[in-house]
Amino acid sequence: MTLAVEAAEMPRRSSRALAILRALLRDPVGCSALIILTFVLLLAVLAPWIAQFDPLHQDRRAVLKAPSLLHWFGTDDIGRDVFSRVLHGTRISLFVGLMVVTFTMIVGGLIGMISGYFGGWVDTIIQRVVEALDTLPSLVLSLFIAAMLGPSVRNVVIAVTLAQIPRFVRVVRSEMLKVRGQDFIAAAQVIGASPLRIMLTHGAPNLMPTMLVLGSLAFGVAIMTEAALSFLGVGTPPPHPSLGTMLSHGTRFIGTAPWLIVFPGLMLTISVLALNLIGDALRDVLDPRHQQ
Amino acid sequence: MLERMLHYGNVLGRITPALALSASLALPGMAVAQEAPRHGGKVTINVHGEAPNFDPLASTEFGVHSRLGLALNRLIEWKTGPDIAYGQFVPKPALAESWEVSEDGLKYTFHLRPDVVWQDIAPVAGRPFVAADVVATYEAIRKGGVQKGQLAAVDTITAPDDHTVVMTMKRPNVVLLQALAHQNMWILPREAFDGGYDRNTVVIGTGPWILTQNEAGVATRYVRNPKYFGKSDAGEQLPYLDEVEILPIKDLNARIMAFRSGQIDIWFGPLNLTQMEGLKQAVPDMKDIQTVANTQSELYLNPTFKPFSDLRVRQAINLAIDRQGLGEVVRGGGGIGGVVGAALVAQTLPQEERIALYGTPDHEKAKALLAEAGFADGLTFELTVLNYGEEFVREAEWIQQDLAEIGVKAEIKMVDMVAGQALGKEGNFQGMFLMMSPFAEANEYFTTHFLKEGNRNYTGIDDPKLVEMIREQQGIADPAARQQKVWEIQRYIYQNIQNPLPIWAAVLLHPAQARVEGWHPMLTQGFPSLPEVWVTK
Repeated sequence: MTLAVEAAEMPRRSSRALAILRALLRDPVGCSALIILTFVLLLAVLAPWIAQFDPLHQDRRAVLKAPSLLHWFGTDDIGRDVFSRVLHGTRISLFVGLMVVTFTMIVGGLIGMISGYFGGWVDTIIQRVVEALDTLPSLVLSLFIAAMLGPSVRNVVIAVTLAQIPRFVRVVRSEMLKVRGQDFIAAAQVIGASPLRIMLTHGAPNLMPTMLVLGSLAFGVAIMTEAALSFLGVGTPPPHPSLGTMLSHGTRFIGTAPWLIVFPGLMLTISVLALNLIGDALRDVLDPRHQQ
Repeated sequence: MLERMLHYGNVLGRITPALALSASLALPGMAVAQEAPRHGGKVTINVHGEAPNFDPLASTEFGVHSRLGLALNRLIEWKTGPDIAYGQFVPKPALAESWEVSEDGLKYTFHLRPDVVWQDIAPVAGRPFVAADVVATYEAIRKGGVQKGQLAAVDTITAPDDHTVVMTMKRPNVVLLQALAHQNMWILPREAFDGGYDRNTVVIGTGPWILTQNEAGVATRYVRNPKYFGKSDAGEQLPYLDEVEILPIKDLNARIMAFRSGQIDIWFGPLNLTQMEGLKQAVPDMKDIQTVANTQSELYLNPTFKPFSDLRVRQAINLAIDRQGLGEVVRGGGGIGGVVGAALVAQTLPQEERIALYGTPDHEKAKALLAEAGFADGLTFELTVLNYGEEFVREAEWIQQDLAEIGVKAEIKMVDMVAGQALGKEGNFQGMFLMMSPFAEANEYFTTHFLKEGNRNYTGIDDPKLVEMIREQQGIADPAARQQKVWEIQRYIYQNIQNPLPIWAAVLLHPAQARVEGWHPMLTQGFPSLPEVWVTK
């Protein structure tokens, strides 16, 4: 019986995803943001083929060269091609964003569901921990964790994920509290489904719209936080390009070689703006109150 | 003027266009320097560190000793002036007006100035300075001062009369004079050690200024000591300035703004060439004084990582690095590294020789050496880089590409300075790139880097012949003979040790406002040239 129900839900889920996508494309802002983000994603994914130069290679005869046909975004202070570095830096930023969102949705979503589903002392303990973590601004928390762990892409992912989890836990828990009172949850409990099974097969699909909106916003926050951590020297370590590191170093040359901050800054702005607009559009599409 | 330019050229080693430009920019000030110095006025200096206390025996903090130097004196001082380089130690009589060394180098007799009195602050209250003060200070240092290593070779310290101090040595040590002029070796009144007053909070000295006020985070203020013994070469009473103020501005941008607005007269602390250019645009008539830093970047290759135990691999790595390109592109000036740093112009190997040994990359020869050592296909190692800031990281990236050219892959691992130093002491690294401590004497380079107990000997070097040579140079009294021995040691290290590899001594920038005259930055703390500084308006 359960198998039959799940089989029946499959097409419904995929058709719902398509409906969300169609609604998003109908929204002019959402559509534009989606196109921009797709473009940025393509640039990042295809960076090794698009970039004319190795982002780490130093052409020591071409130090601090202004944008030209050869170096589209100019070169930095040790002769590295800024265009190649921006593309590869975006790749790292998007990778960090994707990892953070994935881990945050899995860990934060699961803890939030457990907290909301079980309630009682489990909920109390989880919420006190979450509140304690919430008292610290997420950037400060990320900075603290990253500084403790040392600079590396992996540690940036850990630091930003840990800082983002409390927000996910709170929102998912409140959504789970609503879902827990629904009849289909009661029906699943009556037929003897385990709490884990109920949470994953009945809770999670109903929480997905909320998590999608949160995820898209967290994606942008993760990219910004990675840039901020790299800017402060505890993020992506050299020589790997990172938009934040490029911005940090470029400030030294703001008067003489502005291209060192203009292009990484633009890429960062465009990526985060697109993600935030998609988040807003998703919320509009998925929230019935906004639809009205 | 030309002499001064040539002088700078000698001092800076391989002078870069940026430095040449700076020397020419400094020239307009020379016309003003012809004016007679005048008494009066005030200058403000920024020191980007606080003085948590004023006990010179308790701390090596530059924030403490930079402040103490205005009110205290050493037995022997660093001479300063237009003809003396930033890192050149020329002993100048201070509290000791003369000294003699016995033939065997085991007895030093210092004759103290008879006309020195302590500042009129209770409980010392202006009494005469005597030999007992020197003995009390040095004995306290030997007992528990942070600078006790400076007196490690001293056996006894006695005062046969009020104006004579005799020091006997355990072994000859010709660097004793410089040790006594070390930046932490201030002489205090004996009351500081017998409970007469709290040296953490009270500063009583014989120096050119009296410390009148120290507000943490705000300012340290001084007024002229009317009973200071110092005279200029022309016989004029020093100091020229009536007042000095030290501002503890920690934030770089705030310091820059303070200098631009004229709130700071003399800049002390980190500044890079790009920021200097910004300052020059805002303050076009400022004095642009540049020197070579008395520290340098160094690349340690740990022989516990098997490839680095082979001298040929270390030689190959040395041959791979284009230091001169690095210095020009990344640092915009400075001097090529040496076993003894470039700032110590009289002790480091001659510039041409350093360029030949360390500044002539040869990738083909490097590859051949690697092949001989069994690494024809190259090798990979983890390069731990201490985070000394953007430009330092750029140096590491530069070296990384140079090494890649000969098939050596350096995987950079960034660590903070404290963690990196701990890794170094534990020997827990394969390659390590760091900035050396500022040293003022070749002996410091040798003893810290190449003696088994040296605190910078991160690679466990223990070469009996080298140890013998280091001990020998400590006992050579004749300056020319000692210079030859110091050079010989450096050549021996190049040929047989090649660890750590010296890389580059950066350019140090010392901007000052146009109205400040007679300012000569010197590597030792305490601003030794400040008594001869005067202001035009």
